[in-house]
Amino acid sequence: MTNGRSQLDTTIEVVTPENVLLQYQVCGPFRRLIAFALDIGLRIAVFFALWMVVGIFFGFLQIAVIGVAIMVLVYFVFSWFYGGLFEAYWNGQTPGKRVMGIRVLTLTGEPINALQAILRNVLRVVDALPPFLLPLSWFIPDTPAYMLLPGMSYLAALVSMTCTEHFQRLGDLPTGTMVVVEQRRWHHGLVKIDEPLVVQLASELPANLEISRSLGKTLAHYVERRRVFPPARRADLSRHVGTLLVKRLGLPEDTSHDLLLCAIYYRTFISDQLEDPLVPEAQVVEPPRIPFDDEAPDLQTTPTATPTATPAATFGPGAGGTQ
Amino acid sequence: MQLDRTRITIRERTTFELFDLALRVVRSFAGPLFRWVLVGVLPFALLNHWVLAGNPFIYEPEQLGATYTWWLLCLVVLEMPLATAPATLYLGQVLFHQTPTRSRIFGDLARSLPQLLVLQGWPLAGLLFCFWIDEASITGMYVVLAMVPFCFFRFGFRPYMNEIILLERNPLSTSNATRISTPRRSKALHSWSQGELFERFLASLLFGSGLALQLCAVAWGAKSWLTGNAELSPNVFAILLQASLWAVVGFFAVVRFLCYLDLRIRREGWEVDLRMRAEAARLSKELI
Repeated sequence: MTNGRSQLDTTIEVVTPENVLLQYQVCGPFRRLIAFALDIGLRIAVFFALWMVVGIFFGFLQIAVIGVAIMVLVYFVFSWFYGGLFEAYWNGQTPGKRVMGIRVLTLTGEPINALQAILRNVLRVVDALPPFLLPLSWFIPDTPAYMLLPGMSYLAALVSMTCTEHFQRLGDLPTGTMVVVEQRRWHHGLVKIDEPLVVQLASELPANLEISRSLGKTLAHYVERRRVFPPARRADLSRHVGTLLVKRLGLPEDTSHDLLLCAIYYRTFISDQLEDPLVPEAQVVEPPRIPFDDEAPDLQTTPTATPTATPAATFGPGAGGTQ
Repeated sequence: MQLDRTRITIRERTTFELFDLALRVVRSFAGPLFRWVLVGVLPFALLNHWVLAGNPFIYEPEQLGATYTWWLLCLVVLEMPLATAPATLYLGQVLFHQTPTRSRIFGDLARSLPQLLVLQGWPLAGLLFCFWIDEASITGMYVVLAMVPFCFFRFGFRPYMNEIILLERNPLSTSNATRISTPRRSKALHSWSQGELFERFLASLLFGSGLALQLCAVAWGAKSWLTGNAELSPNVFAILLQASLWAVVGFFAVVRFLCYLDLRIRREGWEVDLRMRAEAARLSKELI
């Protein structure tokens, strides 16, 4: 699929100061919400564990008031600096973010510093707005109407994330940060094709076969994905292009479209890449030149047009029927 | 229309990524989407108010917190496929850089309406019939309870029936075994992906209920702050609840559309198909 900037996607491109283009998948509110819930759960669990330890210890010493003071301090630190401290020391991650595979970065793709980490977490109180109160009777029948359940809606964060290109909440805006998904994508190299029928068909294709860039990309995509589809689906997918190519190359009509596409891929990207040791040095066939879409291939000058070549078959746009 | 040039990048995505992308789609097409969601939702919102507000067993101030919410939820869940049909048609057309016109969307909707009513509308019709014959809707309650497993099946394992009816437009039935019909197509698309479909259904249920509750609570808070009165009259409560539920339904129509595309990419290589068709169009131009 074309990946023009006008297309909607959750990936962004960042050019580093070293002029390296990096692609990130920015993380929206849903994955972040789960990470946040995990962090809250962890905070509550640790707080209660500490409360029990401190309570038992200072209760035993009969100075419970000091225990209370310590727990108030712990609560304060947990409330305001849990996220900031973790993100500062764990390179933009909290335990919840680590579980969900996300990380805070600056908008230029660099790691955040301690100031950014703490500031974006302190500003969470703004993101949590507006607050709300729900009647407890909605959840527990026969509860008096004046008993209300307080909560923070985080609607400000949701609106801010929806309106910004990098899914930034309000705390991310002044600090120039964003949250990205740490993903390891598999980039396929050449797909290994060892089906004898494909290799045989590839050898029967015109020697000076040259394909357009867009067709090359389409074939590469098809060959990469075809393994997961059953034969019937492969036949269906390859039918549109295959029918035209069979005509263009003058192949028998019962040629399998799936095999033909694989054969062209094999010829273009695999067999022609290998140097044939039997061919004298002066006649080494160069790898096929893949012309740009707006470039009309010149059959007289293409490197693949060797003196012994069969009639040219070029599929680049702008080239007329060459069969 | 160039098939490989779409408004949304066509590739495989995770559930969370699809939810995030839905926010981006909502932002990009906010105005038209809101209008088409409203077109679909408004008749059903009025119908719900008429059915529930006219019922003395449901629409009483003491019961509003539980009974009314329960019945409204049941109605909204059953109305969801029909109410989101115009928005789905809009998204289907705007995906390929087409400019959807009102006449085209209404025309497509009219063509798909018989199938929508037959395949998606009968549970709603059944519930409304129960309301009609039994004002206390005791029968309706049993019908709804019986329909819970059906709803789980429909929304958990066959969630993209609407998209199949509206966007693929296969016949309702066919005697020819080699020709695809809507039920056959639905079975072919949804089979073998139940785990993933159910995971997305549960995620939608979780986030959807949270979002609806959040919107309703914030709207109530805003109303209390603006009027200086936290009391909720039945009418205001009905409006706030319906508005919150329908807003969430509108958002999840976008999510469902994106999940449908994702399923087609995973199961059928839809992105390969689009590329192949576009390449074939380019090649055939050269042949002419």
